[in-house]
Amino acid sequence: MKEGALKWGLRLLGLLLSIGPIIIALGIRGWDVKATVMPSESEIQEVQGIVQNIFGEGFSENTMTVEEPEISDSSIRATVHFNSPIGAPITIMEFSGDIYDGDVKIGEISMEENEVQVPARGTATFHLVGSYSGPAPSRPKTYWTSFVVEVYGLEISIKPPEQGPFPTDGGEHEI
Amino acid sequence: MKYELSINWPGLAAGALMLVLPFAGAWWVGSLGTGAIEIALSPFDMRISAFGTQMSLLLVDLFLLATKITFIIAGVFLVLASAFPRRWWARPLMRFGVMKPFWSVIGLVVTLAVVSIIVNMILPHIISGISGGAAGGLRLSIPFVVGASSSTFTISNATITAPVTFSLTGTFWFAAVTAGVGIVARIYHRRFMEDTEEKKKQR
Repeated sequence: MKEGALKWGLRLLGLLLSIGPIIIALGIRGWDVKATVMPSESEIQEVQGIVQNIFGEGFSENTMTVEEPEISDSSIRATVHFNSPIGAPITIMEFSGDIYDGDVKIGEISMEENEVQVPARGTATFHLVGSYSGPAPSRPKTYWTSFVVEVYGLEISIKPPEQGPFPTDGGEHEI
Repeated sequence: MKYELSINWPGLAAGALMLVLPFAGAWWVGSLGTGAIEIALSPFDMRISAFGTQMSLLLVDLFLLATKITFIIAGVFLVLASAFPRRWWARPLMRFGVMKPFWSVIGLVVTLAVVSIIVNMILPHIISGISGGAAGGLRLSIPFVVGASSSTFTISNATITAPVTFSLTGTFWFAAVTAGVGIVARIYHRRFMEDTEEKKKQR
């Protein structure tokens, strides 16, 4: 009889430890089932705020500025100043583009460095190098074609919506 | 001279290990990227952080706390039952918790396997059905319990590639050893039961 009572006592203990958390959680959340099971609205908004703070408004026309390219022989070299809008350290893995003389593509350009570290909302400078064919361009323009960055170990690859210069205004993705 | 069993030594070892296990850390860790999302999981604790910010669910936290308390109580009972195996209360106390490490190890692996199957095979169909095919740029792939893979998400002209890594920690294997010792303790305890029955018949 003693053993039977002990067995039932242990079963009740197990049951209490299984159901107890549910009752306690419901009590803390005012017996609201949804609030108990789901994260609170304030917690969700906090996470959204943190993500928004990290990624900010995204890239804009002020993100990158390019100095006048240096042309020599059949090569082009340009210096790029990058202002990161991201609230976390990023690594620029790849930056490449096409070189145009007017409306004619004459070559390709890519990042000289293997990778460039940029601190949170910081600035960095890197170089683009490329070669072109034909005579020296009179109106050289470069349009980016691929931009790859790494942030928090996530690789983000961005391509412009259209390749080449825009037919009328010179292209929104001119760099 | 017949050696008289007096203490269930495997049971004592299992009980001691069960008292340590709830404080030994995570059994499994998963990460998306490097610090983007990190999860550390055990039957006693779950830590999720997104971009360096800890997240928690009250109900889950309380369940895990109850599991921790259960393990500690079971460990104490196991130590007592193993130290005094011939007492009338030894068997119920032994049976209360000796298999808990075993079922915890099995439960964790099964849960992770089920989640992997759901994410890899079922979730993409659900998302595709909800979005009407607009989520065609989402390719979900997570490892099966342990390993590495990558998922990609394409939106507009941007593609995000997220490496995913899962691994079992040393604490998991410590739990597996505890489970094994617990099984040995339960089998060994039968000797005391047989021994006690024999003595009752002799009387």
